[in-house]
Amino acid sequence: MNWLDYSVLLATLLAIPLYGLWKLRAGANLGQYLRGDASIRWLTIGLSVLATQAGPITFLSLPGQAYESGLGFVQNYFGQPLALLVVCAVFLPIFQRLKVFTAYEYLGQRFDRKTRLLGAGLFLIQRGLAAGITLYAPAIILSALLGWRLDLTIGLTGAAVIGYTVLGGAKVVSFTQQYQMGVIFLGMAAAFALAVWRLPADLSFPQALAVAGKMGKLQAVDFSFDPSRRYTIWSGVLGGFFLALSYFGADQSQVGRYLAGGSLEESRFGLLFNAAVKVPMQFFILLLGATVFLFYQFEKPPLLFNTPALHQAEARGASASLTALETDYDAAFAEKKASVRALAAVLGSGDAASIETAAARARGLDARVQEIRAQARRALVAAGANPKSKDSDFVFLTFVLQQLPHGLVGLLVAVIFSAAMSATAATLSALGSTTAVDFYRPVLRPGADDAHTLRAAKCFTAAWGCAAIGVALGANLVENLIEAGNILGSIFYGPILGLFVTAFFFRRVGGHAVFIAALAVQAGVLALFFTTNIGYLWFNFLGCVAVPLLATVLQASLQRPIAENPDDA
Amino acid sequence: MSTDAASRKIPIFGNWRRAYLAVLAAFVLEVALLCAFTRVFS
Repeated sequence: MNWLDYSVLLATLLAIPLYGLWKLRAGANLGQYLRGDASIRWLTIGLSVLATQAGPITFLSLPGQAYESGLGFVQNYFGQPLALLVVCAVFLPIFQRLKVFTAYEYLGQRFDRKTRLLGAGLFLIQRGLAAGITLYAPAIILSALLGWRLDLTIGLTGAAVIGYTVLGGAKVVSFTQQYQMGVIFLGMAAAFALAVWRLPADLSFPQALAVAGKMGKLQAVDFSFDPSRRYTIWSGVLGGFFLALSYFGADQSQVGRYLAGGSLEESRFGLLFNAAVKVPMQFFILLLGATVFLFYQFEKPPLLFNTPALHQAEARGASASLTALETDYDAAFAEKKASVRALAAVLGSGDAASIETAAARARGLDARVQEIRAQARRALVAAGANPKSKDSDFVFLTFVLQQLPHGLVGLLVAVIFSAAMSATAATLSALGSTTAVDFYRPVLRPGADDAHTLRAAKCFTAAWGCAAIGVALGANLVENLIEAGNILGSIFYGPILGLFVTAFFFRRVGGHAVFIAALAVQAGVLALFFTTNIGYLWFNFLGCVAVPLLATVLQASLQRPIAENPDDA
Repeated sequence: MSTDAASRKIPIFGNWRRAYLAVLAAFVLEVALLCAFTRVFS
């Protein structure tokens, strides 16, 4: 990165929050600080919801995921549009009618205070940790590739987010997110255009796609019932549905976003916008990764994309073995490149047998290259230079740093930071609101007026920001960044969603039964997570189904009527 | 959601039921296009 990149990066990162704070400089009351106000329209809500979900991991790791495994990951998002329709039709009208600041207030009104605190507490644990991962994920990659200090990268990003989130609250968070999302769209579109442009001139983009398809990278949809397949349409629709329902229905970082406008119509349009654009957006990011894969079929990529770890291993005495692997790798790549060229040449012939023979040869040589890379990774571990993230997480940023022109490099790094800042800001705002509204005012300081609660919310937001920085600084060896957040969410989301499903659809169940059921199911999910290999998406389904079932049984055995002492806070 | 709420007048779609159906149709179309993409390029 040169001065132009740093100028673009700093200008982008500072201008958006400062403009947001200046634009919305009039002081906010408690409602405006925690929720926003009626001036927030559906597109702002829609972009804000999109930005909250699409953290830095989406833009760093998803292209690498496609580079390594193809487009199949897009199926994980197939349940989301369906879940958003349920949230629009069932969850949103109830939250809007009750004018709640947080989703957990509803649990207090429907059941009792302890159930509200349980829901809010599970959210705080899960999101508090997730906020740390959101800060850690981009910092670990950027600090490794750019030579920045990890602690400073985490600390400065966190401090900037804390600053504008504490000062401006939910309204500034929503306002800045729409511009941050604009930067993200612009940067990713530019990277895509450049990736296509850098492909060999004698190969049209459709021809290049045909090559990628024959090499097994473009299978977006898989109807297989084989349980060993990681991504299929069935696991995506069913597992993805419950994950998205939990996330959008019971996670305050999203509930706070779509309740921001204060109008049912604006909130619904914002969510429907998300339902329509999410799958195409994720597909586009994955296709960018597949295009980067194509580029590296003709241009030799490094033996490992995590070059700092590679250099560390060389310095620790693995130099001889890595040099030998590098020699093998160069030869294997040259052979593979020739086979990919041959495949591209034969694709237009229409001769199915020749095409399949050429494709099989290219796939075989690609597997040989991957095997050498796997050996290099093992050499890294043996030398004690254990990389802290998957090599695929470094693919996209390596492409950006090595292949894009100056200025655009700064913009793409700004994309990663914008994504980190927007997702973290929404999370901190939700954590601060939930602590103030669900714990502080009803439990610690009953009767506190709005001005006092507003000051408390600002303090809690800042405190959660500091805690997130602490988690990020302590986070280590989170090897699979793209899935760490989803796994963490899936462990806690199921029981939280189960609380809401019981509240909406099991009218005879009271607070005691659902509280005990949710605690028991949460303990069960944790036990399953630590003792079995069940796919994490299933925890959402299991938790969501088990809580109402167990609560119904408990309610019958307790023989208590619906709680008659709802939370009055 | 009650029938009244579902049939309330809204811009573009007319009512919420139509809006939900439009989004559902868009999703089905997106999956169909991805299936076609997979078929063409795999």
